[in-house]
Amino acid sequence: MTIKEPPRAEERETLVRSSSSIGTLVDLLLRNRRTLAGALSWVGIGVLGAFVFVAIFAFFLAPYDPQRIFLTPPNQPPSLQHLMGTDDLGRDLFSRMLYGARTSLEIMAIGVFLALVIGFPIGLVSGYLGGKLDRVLVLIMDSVYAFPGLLLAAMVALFLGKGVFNVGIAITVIYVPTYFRVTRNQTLSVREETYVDAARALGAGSWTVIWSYIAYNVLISIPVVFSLSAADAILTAAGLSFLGLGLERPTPDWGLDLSDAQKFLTSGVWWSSFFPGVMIIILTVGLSFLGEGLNDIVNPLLRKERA
Amino acid sequence: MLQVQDLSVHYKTRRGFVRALEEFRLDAMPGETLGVVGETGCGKSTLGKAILGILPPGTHVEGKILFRGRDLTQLGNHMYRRLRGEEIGLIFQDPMTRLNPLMTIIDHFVEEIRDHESVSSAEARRRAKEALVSMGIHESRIKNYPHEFSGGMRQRIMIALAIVLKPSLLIADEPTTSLDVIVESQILGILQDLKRAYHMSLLLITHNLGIVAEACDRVAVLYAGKLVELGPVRNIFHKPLHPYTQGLLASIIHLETKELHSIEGGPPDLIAPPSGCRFHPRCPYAQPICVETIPPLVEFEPGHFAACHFGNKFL
Amino acid sequence: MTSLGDTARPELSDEILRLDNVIVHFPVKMSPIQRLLQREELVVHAVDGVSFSVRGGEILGLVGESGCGKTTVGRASVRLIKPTSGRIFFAGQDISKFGGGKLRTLRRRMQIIFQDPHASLNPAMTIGRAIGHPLWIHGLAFGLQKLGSDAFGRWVQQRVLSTMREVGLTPEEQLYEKFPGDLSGGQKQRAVIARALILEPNLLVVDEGVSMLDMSIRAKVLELMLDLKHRHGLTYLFITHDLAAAKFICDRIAIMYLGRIVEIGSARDIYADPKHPYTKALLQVIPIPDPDKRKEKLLPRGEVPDAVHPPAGCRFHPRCPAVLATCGWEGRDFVDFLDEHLSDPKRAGEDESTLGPIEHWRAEGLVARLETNSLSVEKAVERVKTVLATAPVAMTRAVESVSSLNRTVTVRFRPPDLLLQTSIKNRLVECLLYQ
Repeated sequence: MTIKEPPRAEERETLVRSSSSIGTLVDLLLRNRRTLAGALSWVGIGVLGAFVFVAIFAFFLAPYDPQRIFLTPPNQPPSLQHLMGTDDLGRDLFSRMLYGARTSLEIMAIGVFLALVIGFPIGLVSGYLGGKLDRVLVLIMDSVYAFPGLLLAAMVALFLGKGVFNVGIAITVIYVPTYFRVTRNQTLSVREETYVDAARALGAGSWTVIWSYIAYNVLISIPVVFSLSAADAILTAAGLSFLGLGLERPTPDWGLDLSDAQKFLTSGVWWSSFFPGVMIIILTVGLSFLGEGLNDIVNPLLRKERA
Repeated sequence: MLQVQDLSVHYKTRRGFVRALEEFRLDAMPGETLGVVGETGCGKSTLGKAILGILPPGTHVEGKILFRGRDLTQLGNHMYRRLRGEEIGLIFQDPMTRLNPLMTIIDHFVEEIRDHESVSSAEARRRAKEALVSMGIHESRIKNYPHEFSGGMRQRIMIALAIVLKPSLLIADEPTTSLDVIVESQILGILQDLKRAYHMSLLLITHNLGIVAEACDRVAVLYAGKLVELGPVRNIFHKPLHPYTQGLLASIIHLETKELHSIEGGPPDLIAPPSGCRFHPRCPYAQPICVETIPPLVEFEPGHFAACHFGNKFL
Repeated sequence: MTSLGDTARPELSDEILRLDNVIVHFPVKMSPIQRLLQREELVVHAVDGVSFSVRGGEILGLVGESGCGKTTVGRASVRLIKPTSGRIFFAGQDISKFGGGKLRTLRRRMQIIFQDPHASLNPAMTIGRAIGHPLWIHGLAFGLQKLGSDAFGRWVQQRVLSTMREVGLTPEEQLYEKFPGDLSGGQKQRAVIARALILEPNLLVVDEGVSMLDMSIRAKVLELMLDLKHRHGLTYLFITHDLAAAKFICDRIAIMYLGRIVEIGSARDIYADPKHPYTKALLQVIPIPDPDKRKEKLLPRGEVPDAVHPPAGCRFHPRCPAVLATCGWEGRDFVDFLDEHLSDPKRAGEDESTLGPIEHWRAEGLVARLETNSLSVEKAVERVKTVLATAPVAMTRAVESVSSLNRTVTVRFRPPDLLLQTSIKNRLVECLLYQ
C-alpha cells in the first residue's frame, strides 16, 4: 500500500515570503538548485543570460559589421576569418548571428512584455469580478487563442507592415490570451482564500482587494508563463521572418537568414542554414528549460498552499 | 510488540537540521491503547511517520524501531510496503489522503486485499463487503465513490480499510480532529470495539487530551521532540510529574473549568533547541541544573517515567 | 456616507444585533445539463429561519456541529453574505439590503475573525501593513485628506504599534516587519484580532477563533478576548463547536442544528439543565479529561443529514433518542430503516426478494412506495408490517397505513405536529416534548 502525505496546516510552507516576487523566485531557485527542475532552470537562465549579454555587447563581440559585404566569393565555408562562414551575399555569418540575437530578443521583449502588461490586469479584473464582463472577455480571449498562432501573427504583421516593433506587436496579440488565461485562473483560486474574505470584511473595495491582496499572490505564477511564451515567441518570430513577413531584408535576423539560405542547401552550403537554425533552437530550448523547471518548482507549492 | 529505542529523527532543511525527535524511547504492549500526546511541533507525527517508514528522503534517522523483533529502520521499501496494511494499519486525519476519488470503495478494499494476499477476485469482494457492512455501511452504497460519503463515513471506511487485513498494530494520527464531537465519539467507540475484537495495539496520536482520557491505557507526552513523561493514564492525569504535562492538563478547557490557564511562551525552534531540558524557558520551576543538564528519563513510580530533575517533588 | 461612524456609540445595553427569521439558501452546484434534468430547484438550506438578538456588552454563543449553519449565520451577520430572506438589524438599522458604500461604512462597526489564522493573513503583506490596512481603507473617514499622506502614515503606524501591544503581539517593532509565515499560530490569531480591533468596532463575530490553536495557548487568546471586551465594551457573537469553551465565555448560547436554533437562552441555565435532546447529546459527548470518569454514552444514531433535503418536522427526529410519533416521520425514514434491515443478513432473511432491492422503493413526502409484481404484493404488505414492528416505537406509531393497490405497496405516515418555540426556564426550546 502506498501512502500519500497528509497536508498539515502548521507545516505549510508559504510561498510568497516577501513582497518582492522576484525575491521569492530567486529564493526558490537557489533552494532547488540540486534538483533536476532547479538545474534545468539554471541552465535556462544561463542560456538566456548568455544571449542577453551577446545582444547587448554585439558591437564589441562581432568581428565585423553584419552588413559588410566581403569581396571574396559568397558562401564561404567556416574558416578562421569567418568562424561561421559567409552567406550568399558575402556577409560574415558569425557577426550576423550575434546581431541576430539582438533582433530576436528585442522582438521577444516587446511582444511578451506587452502581452503581460495587457493580459495580466485584464485577467485579474475579469477573474475577480466575474459576471458578464468575465464571460465576454473569456469568449474573446478564447477565440484569439484558438486561432493558429503563426497565421494570426502573419495577418497582423501583414496589416501593420514591416519592422521590429510591428513584429513585436504581432507577437503581443498572440500571447495576450495566454497571460489572460493564466492570470484569470490563478485569480479565481486566490479569490477563494480566507484572507480575501477578510479583506472584504474589513471594508476593502474591489480595486483594493485586487491590487493589495490578489495581484502579488498571482504574480508568482507568471514567470513560468513568461518563459514558456518567450520560447514560443522566438519560434513564432523566426517563423514570420522565414516566411518573409515582418522584417526588412538586410536586418540581421535568424529567421530571415535561414529563409535566404535554404536554396543553397542542395549545393552543399550547409553553414548558412545550420547556424541560424542552431541559434533559434538553443534559445528556444533554454527558455523552455527555464519555464519547465520553474513550473516543476512553483506549481506543486502553489497546489499545496491552496489545498 | 513495538519498541522504540533511542530514536532520533533530524530533518534536513536549508537553515539546518530540524531535530524533530531526540533519543526517543517508547514501547507498546500487545492489546493496549497507547496515547501519544503533544502540541504543534512536538514530533508526534514524525514518530508516526518514522514507524511507518514514510519520512522524506534525506532525513537523518538514528536508533531502532523494533516491531515484533524486527528493526524497521533497516527495512527496505519493498518489505515496508508489505508490512503496511498486513501488520501495521494506519489512519490519518483526512481520509481523502488515503482514498482515491476515482475508485469505488469496494474497489479500494479489493485492491488492498489482493495487494497482500493471492485470493480470487470474488473472495476479495466477499471479504470487502463483510468489512464494510460491519462498519455500518449499507450494502447499497458499496459501489459509491468516496466523495459521496460524509466525513464521518469516510473515516469509518478508512478504518475498515486499515484493519481488513487484521494487522496487530494500528497507528491513528489525529483520527478524529476534523470530525464533530458526536461523530468523534462514535468513531472512538468503533476503534475500541475493533481493538478488543482483533486484539490489536492502538497507537493514538493526538493533541486532544479528552479522548486520551477516554480511550487510552497508557500515555506518552512529547515536548519539542523529546519524551517528557510516560505512564498509565490515571497516573498521568491525576499525578503528572513533569511541569509541561501539568501545564497542559491545567490548560484544558472543560465543562467544570473555573479559571483559564496557559503555558507562557511558545514551542522552541527545533533547529537550535534550548540546552539541557528543552522546556526550561517556559517552566515555572526552572533551576540552573535544568539549563545545563538534559534530564534523564527516570522511573519515579512503577511504570511511570518522567524526564525532569525534580520529578520526585511532584509525587 | 459616514453617518454611522460619526453618531454616538450605542449604549451598552442596547440591542446591537438582531436577526429576524433569516433564511440563507445556496444554490447547489451542478452542471447545466443536470440542472435541466432536475425537476425542482435544488438549494442547500444552510440557514432556515433563525432569529435572535445580542445586547451590547454580551457574548452570545452560537454552538453546533459542522453543517448546522452557524458559520453562515456569522457571515450573514456581518453581511459577507446577503440573506435569501429575513432581516438583519445592526444598532437598530435594517442592514439586510445594504450594498456597496453603505456596507463599507458599516464595516467599521462590525468585524469578523475567521477560524484559520494561517489563512486569514495575506502572505504578501507584512504584519504591520496588514494590521494598519483597515485604517488606510477607511482613510477618508479619519480625515486622510486633511492630514496629508505622510502624517497619516505615521499616525497609522502609531495606532498599529499600540494595538499590537494591546493584543500581546510583542516585541511590536520587530514583529511589525515580519511576514505571516514567520509567526506562530497564536501570534497570527493575535494579529488578526489586532486588525479587526483597530477600527474600534462594536460587534466582533468570532468564527471558531481558537479551535485551530494549541490548547496551551487557547486560554491566552480567550483571555485576551475577554479582556478586550471589558476594556472596549465589545459585543461578541462567538461561533464554535466547543461547548466547553462556550460555557466558560458566553453569557447566552444558541444551539443550532441543520439551519435552525433548537435551544437558546441563558448559558448557565442551559448547561445546568439542557432541555432539547440534541443539546443533551452534545453535552454528553464532551470528553472529560479524567480517566476515572469514563461513562457509557447514549449517542444519537447516524450523522447530520445533508442540508439539501432536510428531514421533515423536527430536523433532529431521525436521530433523536427521545423521538415521538408526531415529530415528523416521513417516507424517507422508512426507506432508510428498511435499507438498514436489508443490509443485515441476520435480520433480512428472505425479505431481500420480497421487499428489495432497496432502489425500487420511492419516497415522496409522507409516503413510501414499492412497485412489485401482483403475485407478491400481499406478501410484501405482510412483511412490511412485520419489519415495522421491529422499528422504533415512535416510527411504528406514526404509520397511518400500509396498503396495496394493484402492484404497489404503500406505507403512509401521519402528518407531524406543528413545531413551535416554547419558553421554559430562561430559554426557548423548539421541541415537541415541551409543547
